[in-house]
Amino acid sequence: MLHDELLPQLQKRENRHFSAAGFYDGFTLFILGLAKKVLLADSLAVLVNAEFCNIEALDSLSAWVVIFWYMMELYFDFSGYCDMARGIGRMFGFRLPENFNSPFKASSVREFWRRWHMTLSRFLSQYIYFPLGGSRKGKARQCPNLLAVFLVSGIWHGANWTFVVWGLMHGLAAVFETAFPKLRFRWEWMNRLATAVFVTLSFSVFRSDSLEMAGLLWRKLFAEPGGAMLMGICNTLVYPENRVFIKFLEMKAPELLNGFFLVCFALLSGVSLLLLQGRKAEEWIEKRGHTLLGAFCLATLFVWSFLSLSQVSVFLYFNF
Amino acid sequence: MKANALKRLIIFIVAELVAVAGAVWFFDPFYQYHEPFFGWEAVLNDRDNQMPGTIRNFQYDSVLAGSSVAENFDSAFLDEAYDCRTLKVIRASGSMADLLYYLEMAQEEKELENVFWCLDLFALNASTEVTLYGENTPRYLHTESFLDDIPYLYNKEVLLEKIPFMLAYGHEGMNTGGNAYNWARGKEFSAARALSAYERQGITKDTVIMQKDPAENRELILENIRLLEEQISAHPKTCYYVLFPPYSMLWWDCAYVNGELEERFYILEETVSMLLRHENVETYFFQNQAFVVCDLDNYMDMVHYSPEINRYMLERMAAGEDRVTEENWGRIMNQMRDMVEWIVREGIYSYYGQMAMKGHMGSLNRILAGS
Repeated sequence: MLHDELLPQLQKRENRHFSAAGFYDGFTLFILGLAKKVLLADSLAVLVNAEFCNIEALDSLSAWVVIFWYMMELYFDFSGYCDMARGIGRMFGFRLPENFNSPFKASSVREFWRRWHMTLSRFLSQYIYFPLGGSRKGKARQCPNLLAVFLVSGIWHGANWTFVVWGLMHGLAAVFETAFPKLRFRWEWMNRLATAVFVTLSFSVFRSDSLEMAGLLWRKLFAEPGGAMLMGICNTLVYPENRVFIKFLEMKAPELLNGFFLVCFALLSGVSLLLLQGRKAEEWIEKRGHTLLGAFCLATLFVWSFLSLSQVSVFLYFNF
Repeated sequence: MKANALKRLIIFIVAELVAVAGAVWFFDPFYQYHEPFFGWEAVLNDRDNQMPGTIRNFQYDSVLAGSSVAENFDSAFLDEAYDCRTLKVIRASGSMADLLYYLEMAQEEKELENVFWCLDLFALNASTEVTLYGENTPRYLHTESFLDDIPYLYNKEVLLEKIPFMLAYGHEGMNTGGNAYNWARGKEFSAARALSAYERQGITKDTVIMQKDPAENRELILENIRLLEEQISAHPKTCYYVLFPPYSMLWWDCAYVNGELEERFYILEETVSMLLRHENVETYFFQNQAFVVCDLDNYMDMVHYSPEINRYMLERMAAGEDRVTEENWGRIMNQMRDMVEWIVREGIYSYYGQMAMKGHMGSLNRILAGS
């Protein structure tokens, strides 16, 4: 957040008084952020963490599932606590900048970066891209500038070659899109899908502990066709919410257990995909948050998240 | 309008929080606040979480203490045989310091009539530090204050797992009454199962293994024994029934292979000598019961025996059999040494295919009869 965004808010007299409307909007945004992090991201993390320690056993289908789930986990985790921070800001009268704007609706890598971690993109543009000349001096200068920005972005995330490679991948993609702007699919949904696949693949490198691990994961993705392991990875989906059912099925109908895990997998995938493509948190609050049912849902989400805090995992982006 | 919405949201949140805390308080799966209501049977299936609460809030006048090998005792048998009301006090490792911590907690509540202690040799050379406050152990279990109970009252695992499991177990009659913490259901007790839990590392009859000097751990052993003696001396009105459970021949062989045999005999000698000095202690010894120890079908690993063995020990103890006295202790110890010698020289090889068991059980019987 830049000083010219914050200082005027601090100086504004009306921000110094309690506002029920601002508090409500902030509190509800905080609740939705907390639920995203605690209920969704942490649930996805169960499978992701287990399988990133077990890459050797994966086959192609299961490896794709793992990297897509990681991408969703990272998004819900990071955007969840950004919403929490913005919510707290609103409760006290400040408006913090938006950091995510439905990034999976992006139809190019450059658009993705206008929607994902927007504050970092803005910071890097302001302090690296523009001073280097940006796009003002033609494509021949713009392309290295883009590459430099993404390289810095990679290194900014950590001292590991995986981050450098991740930054380079995005830099090269951005350069490609700049050099060949017309080289696109005719259908918009194809562009969105291709962007999502590319971003997910690149973030699998980001998540890996080393380039060797990333290499192994990519071999699994592309060189070991098969889907038999899918059931195996679904069996990691054990939560307090479903453990009673699992125990019951283990004792009374073990033949249904695999089906139950598949249902859990489909449910979590479905909810996550719906939220990725659905309305933003603030839009939902504006439309439904003030109704009786909306308030009940928000209260239940808050209590459910609060109950989950005893086993909550760390925020993924705290390292960065 | 938003002020009303805010009020409504806060009312919903408070109502839901009260409902959740009320449900946890009512069912109280860790028994932090009360015994079960309406005469429902307590379900005891979560040892470490339930132990402090049951000690504080349950009605009892005797305890049955020990490690996992004591969990399959039927405490209802003791209640009948000794006309008492027994609570199981279990710590998986059997750690002396941890069990004494629990016993002291119990004795703060009331003067105990009996302590039935299934005493593990392996606990007597373990650390004398209390290990109950590990990183994963919730602090609220060990305090009576309501103020630190938030992680208990508002806990998804408690609400969605512990309470439903408690209700289901209660409905099925599992881990209730004398079967508290009983884990035998579904377990296989057989020689094959026991042997699969033991790796003998290619030792043969001709391998010479030097036994360590017990002096190496003497201080630790004597400190554990001192702690036990302190407890016994501090409660002269409490009768301590100390049982030495029968570990399998694999356990003794493992001690031999690791060069720890003399240390284990030293622990035995020192502990029993101390116990025999106290009038409020009765000691019962089952480690020399060759027909149990040398038959691996009684075990699922090196130390865990079937519930039939638990039953056998209680019946013998209630009948006053297998009691150790000043007079018979020397003979029992000699018999013990002979049996272990036979195990490591001959007995163990019957299970490793070098000789037939039957013929060699005969030589064991001769050894035992001779001593």
